[in-house]
Amino acid sequence: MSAQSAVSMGAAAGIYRELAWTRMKRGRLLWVCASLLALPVVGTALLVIFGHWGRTLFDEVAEIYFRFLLPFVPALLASPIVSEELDQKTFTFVFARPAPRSALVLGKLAAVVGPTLGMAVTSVALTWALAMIRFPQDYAETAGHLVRAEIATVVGVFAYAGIATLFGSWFVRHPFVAVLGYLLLVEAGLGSAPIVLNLLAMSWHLRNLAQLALPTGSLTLDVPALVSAAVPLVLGSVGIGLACMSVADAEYHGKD
Amino acid sequence: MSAERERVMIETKSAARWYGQIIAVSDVTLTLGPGITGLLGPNGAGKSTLMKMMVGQLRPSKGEVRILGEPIWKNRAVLRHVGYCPEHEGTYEDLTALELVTALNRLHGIDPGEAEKRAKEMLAKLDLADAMNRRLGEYSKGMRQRAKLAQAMAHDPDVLFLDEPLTGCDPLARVKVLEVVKELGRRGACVVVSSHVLYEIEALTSEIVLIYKGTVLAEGDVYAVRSLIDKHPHKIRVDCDRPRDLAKALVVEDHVSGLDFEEGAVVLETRDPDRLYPAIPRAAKAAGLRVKAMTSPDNNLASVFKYLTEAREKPGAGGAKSTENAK
Repeated sequence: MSAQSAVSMGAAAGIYRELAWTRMKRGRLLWVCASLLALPVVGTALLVIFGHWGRTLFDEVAEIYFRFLLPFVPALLASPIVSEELDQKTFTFVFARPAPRSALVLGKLAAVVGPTLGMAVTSVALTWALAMIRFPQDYAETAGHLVRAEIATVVGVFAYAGIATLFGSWFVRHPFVAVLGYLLLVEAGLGSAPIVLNLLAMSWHLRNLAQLALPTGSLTLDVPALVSAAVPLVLGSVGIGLACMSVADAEYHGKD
Repeated sequence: MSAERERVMIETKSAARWYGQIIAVSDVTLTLGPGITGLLGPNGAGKSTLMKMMVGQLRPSKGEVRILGEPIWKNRAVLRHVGYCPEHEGTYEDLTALELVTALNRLHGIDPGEAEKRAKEMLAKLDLADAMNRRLGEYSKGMRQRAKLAQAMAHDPDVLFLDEPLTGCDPLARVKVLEVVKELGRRGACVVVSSHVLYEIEALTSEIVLIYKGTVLAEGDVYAVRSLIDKHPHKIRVDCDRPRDLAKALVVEDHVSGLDFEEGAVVLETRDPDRLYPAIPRAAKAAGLRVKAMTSPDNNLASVFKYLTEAREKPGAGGAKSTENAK
């Protein structure tokens, strides 16, 4: 009868990624996120029309982008990765297969992170291109600044998606509300505070990495860019690891 | 039991599962071989908990569960041989049935082309050929149930667990599902089917395990238990477009002992379910009605289980003999 081979982590994650991508394309969330990430571009275009331009404009838009949009979009897409499987009990279908359970998390995360990265990086690049459009010589002068902003974007998408996945595995019923609570308290709240506690917020590190203006004072610290890149990467990885562990031990409770 | 039947494919040794103070399954020791075995008990008896332990989705609090000689909990190698159709209704609503079954086949290590071929074959066997490219969210309850069954069987498992597989199926779909499950049993797979309706189990097998309040009351042949159940009135709820017309057509039958109406349904009471079950689609056809679903509330079975439990607790009581016969 059965003559199937074992399924590797990579192969299983690939299958989950395909499935998740198919579902995302058919759902509304992806398009909502695409629209949200188009806002900085539209906003910048309008501001250029009304006489603003240059690095100052880019930095102002990027400030809002890194504080609010960048945390929000991956959270919206990644928080249901584990929670929807547990809430709707669909994990019972996939965990009855000889595939590593963690592949579910990794595959679905890849489906979320890939397109989000594409959209977010494009959004930053277009915002920059529009901000510098009046004086083309600014492109060359600020190219390095763009690269830093793009690196911060890549790190941020990964980190916020990892943290949102973890929250989704802890708060099965209302994962996005839980992530939103975290974003408001830690990322927006602490991230804007002129005290050393702001180092706990990934949004602070990402803005530091992107060379944006940060709240300063006697209670703040200067942190090297490499450290600011490492902190969100480590936090995101820990989030993904813990989410994988919770899935590996997940049991199917329910009525008889 | 035949020698083939004695080949152990599922083994539980003192398996128990509790949640805090609540014992869902208590000290279950069972060995099951090839063929179909019915896991019968009223709702809340512990059937699904036992099945979840057998399929490796619930860790036993005590004891062990082995499939094909290997512990099942966190054992991916054994899952290669297992198929599972859970009782819940949740599915990936935005996928088509073909996409779901193909992907789940691929997670068994079957290559993409073969996975799709097998998915198509199984969906066609369950009469979903025309609907396999529609999203599951657009499916009726019965169609969704058949899609769930297809994902459990499409990879040709050696050990198959079906938790309340006929829930929500219309009469025609029931026949189709029973056919497919029987075929798998005939081919030597070990199929465990849970239900709270004896007549569903009886249509598949005579080998049953009676479970009540988390313990196994009896295992063996269905017929001894059957006579006990027949002593109790059996209720069948029929969801259809004109329940009063169906009731009118069936009330003349001498084996119908009572009826009641619920929203969009008639609940018929009988002491002879064997005659009533086939009479329903016949009467519906004659009256030009569409039967959406036939379900059996479990209260009639619960009374029998209560009787069996009391008999076991008081060996001198009348039910003891019947319970022993069932063993």
